[in-house]
Amino acid sequence: MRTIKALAGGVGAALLLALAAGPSGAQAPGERSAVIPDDCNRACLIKAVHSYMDALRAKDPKRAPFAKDVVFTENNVVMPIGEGLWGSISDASKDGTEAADPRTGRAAWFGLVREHGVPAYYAMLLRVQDGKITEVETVVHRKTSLPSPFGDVDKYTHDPAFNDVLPSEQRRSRERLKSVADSYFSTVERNDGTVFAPFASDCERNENGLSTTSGQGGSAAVANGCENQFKLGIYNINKEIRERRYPLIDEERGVVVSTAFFDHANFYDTYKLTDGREMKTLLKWPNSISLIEAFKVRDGKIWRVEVVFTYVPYFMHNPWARPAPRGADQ
Amino acid sequence: MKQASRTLLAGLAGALGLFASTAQAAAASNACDRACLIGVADRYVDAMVKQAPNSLPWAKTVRFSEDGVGVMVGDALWGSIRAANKPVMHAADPSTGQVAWFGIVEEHGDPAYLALRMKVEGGKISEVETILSRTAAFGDAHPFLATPLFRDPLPARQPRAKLIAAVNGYLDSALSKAGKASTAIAPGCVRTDNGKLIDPALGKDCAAQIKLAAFSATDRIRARAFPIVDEARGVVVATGVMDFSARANSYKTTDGKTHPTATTHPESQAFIQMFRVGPGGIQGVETVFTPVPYLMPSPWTR
Repeated sequence: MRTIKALAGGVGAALLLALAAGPSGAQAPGERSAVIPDDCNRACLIKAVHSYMDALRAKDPKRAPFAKDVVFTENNVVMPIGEGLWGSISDASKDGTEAADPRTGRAAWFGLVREHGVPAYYAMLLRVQDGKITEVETVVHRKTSLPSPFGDVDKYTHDPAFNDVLPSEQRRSRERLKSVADSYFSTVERNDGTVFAPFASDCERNENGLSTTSGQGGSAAVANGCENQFKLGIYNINKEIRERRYPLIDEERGVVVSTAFFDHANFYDTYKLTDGREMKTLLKWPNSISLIEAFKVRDGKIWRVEVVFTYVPYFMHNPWARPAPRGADQ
Repeated sequence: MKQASRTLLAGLAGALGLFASTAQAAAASNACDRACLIGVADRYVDAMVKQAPNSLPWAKTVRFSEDGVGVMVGDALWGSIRAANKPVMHAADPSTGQVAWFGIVEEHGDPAYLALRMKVEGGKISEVETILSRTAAFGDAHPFLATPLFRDPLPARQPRAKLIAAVNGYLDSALSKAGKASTAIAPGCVRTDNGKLIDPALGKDCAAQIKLAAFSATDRIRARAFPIVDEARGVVVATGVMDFSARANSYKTTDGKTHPTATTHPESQAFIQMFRVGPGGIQGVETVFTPVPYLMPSPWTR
């Protein structure tokens, strides 16, 4: 168990160094080498995920192959491995939604954890380099008094679609998959009925273990269906979908795993849907939600969405993101 | 943990030294006295309600945070506030050019406790640090100890260093699992958190709470700073972050009773606290805190 050293500044500085480090010169920007190592395939990456979850479940970091300078965040805060959920966890589900991207050495896992027996939804992105886990980014959503989807843990299942390999004609390039995921966030941002994203007619979304596009859970109570909801402008309260990142893309399966913040500025507390209905914001004060979100894109259209998100202070920054300077375009 | 404590103590000692050495220089150059500082703080809140940030005198470089996150002036509470209520508590320190404002604001009709610390340099606002408690239970809330306690001068001034040491000692005492008070606490001292009196089951007054180790589920209190000291009134404003690791989901008070922790998951709380220190020790504590992600750094840690 690593001790906390200089909590206030040391870890932040370490992360900055880690993010800024890397040779500059005759490589593509952001790449460590001009040749992408082919040393950890999907099975290897998923194995690393399982090692991590086994170690977490046992509260024993020694059980996972961590790099010496591994960087770990929980809900956008840098902390040593062994802190946060590592200290409170009592169990984690064996099964989860899994994704991997050998090109970037990243893997993801969405599932359920328990802290002192109390369930929480959990999403994790990790990175393997040279056989070691170098990065771990997590979002943990605990049930609080704040309004938020929180599915029945006894009914929580994982959509096998995220694991299915697409026939070649239904696949799209890495770049296109990223654009499709980004268009989803652009549709959510200041959602006024304009739909920028291509949706499959049977698109479904699961938020913190709850279907919010079918039945009566969350936004589904207002309208069913991904595109229908956006055409109504249900998500108008999102002032900005900020610090969008797409760290994991699997072209074979059409899976993109992204991270972002949804900023709810709440400058207003009522708004109108495109059909004229008046809506009230869930909260009346500024807040943000931090998320790790997985998209399944089939034939160029968004077919499945699974997300774990949690409230964080308004406008909180993700240490993994590099926000553009603000003000120049305002 | 020992190393963390040493780091904290070293930082604190550095901060105390900094305050001591800079206070006199600041006093000489800062023309804004207590009434002036309180006036600027009131103008700030009024400008928020009117959503008129341009009506205020801003320094060339301004730092602004809400609930531990740096934001732009005009954003966050600036967009949601609709009213500021009475009564209001103030504390001011012309030697550091800093002022605090504690009160209740309304966001689209919903009340929230606001604690605000502001720095004024050369008549211009250079720093604004705010903490808002928006989920407090207001039904039985005790709306601040807006009593003469924090307002009226003491019979005799107390040295700045002594006042800071008393408050820092209170924060240390709150962490003691043995219920050991490392500072004097006056009889009848009352503490409120977000306008609510501490549950009497955890001690009838501040001294009893410390003796019972009522707050000992707290792992650490970090990023401590004491930016406002009013030597005439014995008032100190402290800022910082409390960490709750939730490695255990219960804790024991010194009377042998076991209590559940407030949460079963790790959490931190960013806070601004106002203390009154009289001749007999700590006389009153007002806290505004809000939960933030566990171990979130304070943007004010230098």
